[in-house]
Amino acid sequence: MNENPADLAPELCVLIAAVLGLVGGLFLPRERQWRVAVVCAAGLAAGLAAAGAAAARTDLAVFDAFMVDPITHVTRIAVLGATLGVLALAAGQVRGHPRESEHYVLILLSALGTVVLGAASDLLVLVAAYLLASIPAYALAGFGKDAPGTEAALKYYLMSALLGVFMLAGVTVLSGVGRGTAYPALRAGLAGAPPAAVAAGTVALLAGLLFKAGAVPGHFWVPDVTEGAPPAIAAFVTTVPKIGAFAALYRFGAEALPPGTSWPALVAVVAAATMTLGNLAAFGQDNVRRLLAYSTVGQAGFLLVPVAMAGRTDLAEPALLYYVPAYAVTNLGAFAVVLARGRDGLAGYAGLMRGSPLLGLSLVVCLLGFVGTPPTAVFVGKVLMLGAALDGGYAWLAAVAAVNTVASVFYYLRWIVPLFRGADGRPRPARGASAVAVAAALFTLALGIGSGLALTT
Amino acid sequence: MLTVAIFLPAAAAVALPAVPRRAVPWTWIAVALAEVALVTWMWVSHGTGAGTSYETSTRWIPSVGAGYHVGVDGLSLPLLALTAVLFAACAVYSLRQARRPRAFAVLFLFLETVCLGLFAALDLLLFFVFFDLSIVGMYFVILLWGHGDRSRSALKFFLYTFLGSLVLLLGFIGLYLGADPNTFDMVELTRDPPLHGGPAGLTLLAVGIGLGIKTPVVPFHTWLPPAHTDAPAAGSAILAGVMLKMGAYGFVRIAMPMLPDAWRRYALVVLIVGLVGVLYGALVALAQDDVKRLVAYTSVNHMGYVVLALGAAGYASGDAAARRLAVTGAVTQMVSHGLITGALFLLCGVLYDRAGSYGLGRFGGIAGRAPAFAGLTAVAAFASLGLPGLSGFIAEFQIFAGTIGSGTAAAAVAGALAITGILITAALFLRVLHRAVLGPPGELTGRVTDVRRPELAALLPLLLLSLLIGVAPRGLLDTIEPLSAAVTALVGR
Amino acid sequence: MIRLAGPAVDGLSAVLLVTLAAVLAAVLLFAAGERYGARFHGLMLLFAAAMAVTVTATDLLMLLMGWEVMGAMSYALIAYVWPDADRVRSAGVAFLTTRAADMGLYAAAGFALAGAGSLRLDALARADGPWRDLVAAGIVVSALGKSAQLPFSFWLARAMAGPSPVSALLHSATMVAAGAYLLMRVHPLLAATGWAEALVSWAGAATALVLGAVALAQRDLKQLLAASTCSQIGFMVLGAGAGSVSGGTAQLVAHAAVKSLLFLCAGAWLSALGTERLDGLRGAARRHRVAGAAFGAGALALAGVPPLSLWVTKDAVLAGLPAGLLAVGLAASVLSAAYAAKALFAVFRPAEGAAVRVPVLGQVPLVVLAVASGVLGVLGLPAVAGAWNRMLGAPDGGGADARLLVLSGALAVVAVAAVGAARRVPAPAWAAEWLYLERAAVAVVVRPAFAAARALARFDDRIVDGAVRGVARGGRRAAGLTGRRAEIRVDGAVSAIGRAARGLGALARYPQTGQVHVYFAQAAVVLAVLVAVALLAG
Repeated sequence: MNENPADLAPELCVLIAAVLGLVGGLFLPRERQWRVAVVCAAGLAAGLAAAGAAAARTDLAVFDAFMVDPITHVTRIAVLGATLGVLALAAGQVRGHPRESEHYVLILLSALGTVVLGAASDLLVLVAAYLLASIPAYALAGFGKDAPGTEAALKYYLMSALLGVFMLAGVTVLSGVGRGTAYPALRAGLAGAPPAAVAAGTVALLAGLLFKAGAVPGHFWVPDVTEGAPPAIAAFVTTVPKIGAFAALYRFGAEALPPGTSWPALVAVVAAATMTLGNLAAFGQDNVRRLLAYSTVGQAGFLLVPVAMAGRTDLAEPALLYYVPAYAVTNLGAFAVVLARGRDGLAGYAGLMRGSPLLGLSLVVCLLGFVGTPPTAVFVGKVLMLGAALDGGYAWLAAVAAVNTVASVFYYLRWIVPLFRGADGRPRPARGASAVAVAAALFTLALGIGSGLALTT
Repeated sequence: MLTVAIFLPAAAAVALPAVPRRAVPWTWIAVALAEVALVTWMWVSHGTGAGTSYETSTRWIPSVGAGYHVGVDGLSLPLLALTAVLFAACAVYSLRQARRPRAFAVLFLFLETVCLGLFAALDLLLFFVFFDLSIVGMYFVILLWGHGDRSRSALKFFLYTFLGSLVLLLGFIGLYLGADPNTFDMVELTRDPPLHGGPAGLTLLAVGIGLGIKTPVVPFHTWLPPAHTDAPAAGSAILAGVMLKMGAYGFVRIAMPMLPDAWRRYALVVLIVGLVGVLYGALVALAQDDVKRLVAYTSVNHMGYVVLALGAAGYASGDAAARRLAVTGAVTQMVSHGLITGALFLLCGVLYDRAGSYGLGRFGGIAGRAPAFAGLTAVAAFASLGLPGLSGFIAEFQIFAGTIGSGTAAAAVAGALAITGILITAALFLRVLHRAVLGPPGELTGRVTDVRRPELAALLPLLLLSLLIGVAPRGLLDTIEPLSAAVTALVGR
Repeated sequence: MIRLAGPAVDGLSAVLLVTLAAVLAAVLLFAAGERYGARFHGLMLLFAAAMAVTVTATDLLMLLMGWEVMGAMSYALIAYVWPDADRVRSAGVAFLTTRAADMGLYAAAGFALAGAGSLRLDALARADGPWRDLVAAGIVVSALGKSAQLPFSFWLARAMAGPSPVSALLHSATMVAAGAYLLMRVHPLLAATGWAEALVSWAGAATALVLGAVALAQRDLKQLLAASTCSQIGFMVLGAGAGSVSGGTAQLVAHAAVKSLLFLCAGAWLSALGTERLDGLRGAARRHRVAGAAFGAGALALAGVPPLSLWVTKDAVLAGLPAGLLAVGLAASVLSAAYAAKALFAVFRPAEGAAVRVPVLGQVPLVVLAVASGVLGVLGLPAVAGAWNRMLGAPDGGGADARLLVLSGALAVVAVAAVGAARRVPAPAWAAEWLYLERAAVAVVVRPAFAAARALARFDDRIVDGAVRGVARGGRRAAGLTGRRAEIRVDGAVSAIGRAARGLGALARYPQTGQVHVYFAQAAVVLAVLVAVALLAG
């Protein structure tokens, strides 16, 4: 064991920034609370730097309940990077809000919980991380205190509560029959446990994680929250917690379960159901936020494919680790355009290409990126994902994923087509959000073209 | 050098927004002509030898064995040249493009990079990248500059061909997983075909459907007519002239050398699919009253010849020289069809530009109002129906002779039946000539004015090249033949 | 790989080249008087080049190239007056019919490659097994098509829509004779198969006889000449089948001179009198001395009246034939004499009318061709025949048989006299309508093909594309379904929440609004299903 607290530097940076922000927010006058944002951003940037440095090292640090391995590295970088983007989006939205600093701090805390979720290698830490990641998010969802926001927060909370209870039950069952909570111990213990109990426990545990991931059956909150919550928060909850959730799911499948369980079949079914449901439900949406919500559900289905293949093929891990950040960047970019444009209806995007070509191009890149058009990042992720499915012996899942990808083209194009129509008579888009959108679009392209570099490290 | 040639148009596309508005078309034409020069130079220096020239290989995603690996050989050079020529023709043709000329040029330059890249790619993933991007690019061309029910046609085109591309990707991944060590590199996959038995069959099915949708083979062709009908003329020319070749090219470049035993096992299927494409495409084209749809269906017919020949090449028991001839014919047909159909679609564009209709019954006697247009149409039509002295004959004769000459009963029967295709094509092109170009004037004939100078400058080179290939095909055939010998040998392994 | 074997000239090719050049010169000279445009001359010259390629080709590829270009030029020249829809349609019929037959040549090339590994014409006879028969079949079909033999003859009737000089060059003297040339060229192959010789002989003989009857029934001079062309070429085909290459070639050369002469005369009258109908041409020969005399010489030669050319050459073909073929051949000769006489008497019958003007440039070729029609019979004379045979590489000893010469000469004279005396020639409808061949082709091939095309187009639209559209529709419908199910989002519930959102009480009531518990239920059901999946899969 190599327990060096310095290996936790990224998490510590975020935590310190959150605490500083909380304390600072108490003393700063309302009009100067933007400084909290700067502090939080600095904390995230520092954490990102530390995470980058940690990822560049080759030795693995292992705490009892907290793995510092490639999965964690990627989770950290993706979460912190995405949170930084969300912060930039949120800063423009809540500027001057009475509880501005709390807003930033809640985001940071939720992000912290997400990182821990992805790194946890112990069921109890997993539960704690789940709560840490979730609770600030409820508050954030209802931050606007308007009717849709309240409804969203409530639904979010209620779903989380139910599925969280299932998860706790699952943890109890698994730790009971597996005689332990740490993943290595579980792996050994579960091998001899009654399969029915393992199956029930696994499904129950999955319930919570699938809720965080926004996958069937825990996806009901996604459209409501995405539509009801403030847009920046919608971007946050559909991006960041998912990163941790997929990492946790993968880690559980690969490290806690003994080989030969029903895990692949189980997750494959969930994946197929999620992608199909998400994509089909997105067809008729005229509200871009709802459309994006269902698109994130669909994408969650694709992301579950490497999770299902955990331990079955060497491609599963790179697929997941590549797809997750690719998805995060793309999703963030799309939401940034929504924020910049400030419109929810598809019709509100008419003429965007002429009015603000850069923003329009960014949206096109992000949406085509979701489809998996090369050379965006999601393309590489999708290739790896399909490769993992085929290599893992789940050709049908690959076929389902391919068909779903084609289906998804339909609704993404529904959004792209109006961009080119008519003249633009609308006000200039918000500058900060536009910058985030353009950056995200460029980044998905860079991540796609430079994928060799990203995959080797 | 090759990389420069591939990415020069893209670079120009990026720089184009900075070019003053009036200089946009001329910049585009200059870049397109520079491409023609570059490709010609590469062809000349490659000569007619076997092997790959201008090979460049850089690591791209080394962890999955994908790289930026490009090179040119006897198969890619003719198609690269075709691409460069057709794009140059489209650039000249679009000199008077009125609607968003800058974006149009940017998109076409981007497409040119994509098409050149595809024909030069020696890595499956790279191939796929370009394959997919071509769909996206053409989607926007149809969506933004098309006419009629364009958004619907564009959507159908995107969804259908995108489905094909994903199936193709599954096939590629199958190849990748089958190789040891795992790689997407075409050269290595060709050197050591990875799959045998059942998995090879499945992979061939995936690759075949993926490429078949693009080619297109019956019954995966129904995206083609609406896409062509509603696309702008230059878009149709590129779509039919260059992009359909991607499918056929993929068969020769990927499916045959990398899955030889599956190809041999299912040669009969390929043969029949090709034959059905020939006859079905020709017959359905015969019944069309919309000129552009008609030309679109003749593409199905002409690409059917290619598939037929490649199927015949899969009969390892057949005569090797004849099978080489069939492959050479197939590649020649790709080039020839690109030139001729490109010209035909540009001519359709002229018609639509003047009269706003493609209806065969609404014209007549155009030869009186537009003699040059009529002459060009007649030459293009006769080229397309395979008149000797023009490129179509050289291609189709080799295909028939090679297919029948391979000496196996199935190939001989299929080849003999496919010959009916040239009669039906003759009938349908004469029908076009009779109803639109010759005879007494029709309802819309008064609106048709003769071809303008840019249009003529775009069309003439295409037809002259067709004539050149038809009269002196040796230069082209000498380039292709080492390649077809190699492919035939690879399939025969 | 295929390398073109270069062109080569041997005796047969040389004869054809000279014939081609001579007729071309004559026809162009004549046409110069009629002021045709650049397009006409360009196409005529292209045709001549293609014909030259055809007769000098040493392999099937070259041959096919020339062959097909000839067909295309024939199309373009028939449709020379393009605004006339009828002429254009006729050109289409002619082109498509010959191209249908040309498919045989395409196939033959493939079969030759399979059987002999070579496309060289002199290698075809050595092809193995069934391939040799297939090659022969393909070549025979396309030769019969090009030469307008039965059952393809009707296209030549359509070809008469072209200008007369075109008919004179392409559709009488040269292009249509190319089929006979090809059969003579590949005679060793026909001999090697064992069946092709008989088939070709009988096809030629039957055409000579039946189309002779057709010619006799025509009321239009050009139609009569066209049918007579089919019939006369039937003799050449008969010669090719029977192995009489020298006789067939002599017939070809003599016929070229005779028929181009007759067509040029018809053209001169057409441009002067505006009609080709025999009753309209009444007395035409008397209105211009040179044209009339030339036509007279040509028609008598066509009739096989001694000592003019076709009398000798036809008998050279017929000499040495088995009795059946000989009888048919003689019957055909009688018919030739009859229809030639019919034309002759029609134009020489006295009638009122102004003199006809024929340009001087147009008169020269008429005279030259008339002389040639008269004297080309020397090719069959024993003295010349030896040299002729040697040049063509044919075995010595052919040439006309003296008894046959006497017999056929007598028959011709009698037939001419009979027609002159009868003044009315029977013209049954089947013969006047060219045996209804075109109608049959339309009914058997064209209509079914178009019906199939339309049916397939509908099938393509409704079934093939319909399936695609159906999948898309299905996808959308499924999407509608999931959209509804996943969004049990009752409007009333939303507005109720909106109203009540301020108080905790409202929040407390919220779960009862009928939506979250539905979500819960759904989640629970799905989880239960998942447990089942896990158990089954485990």
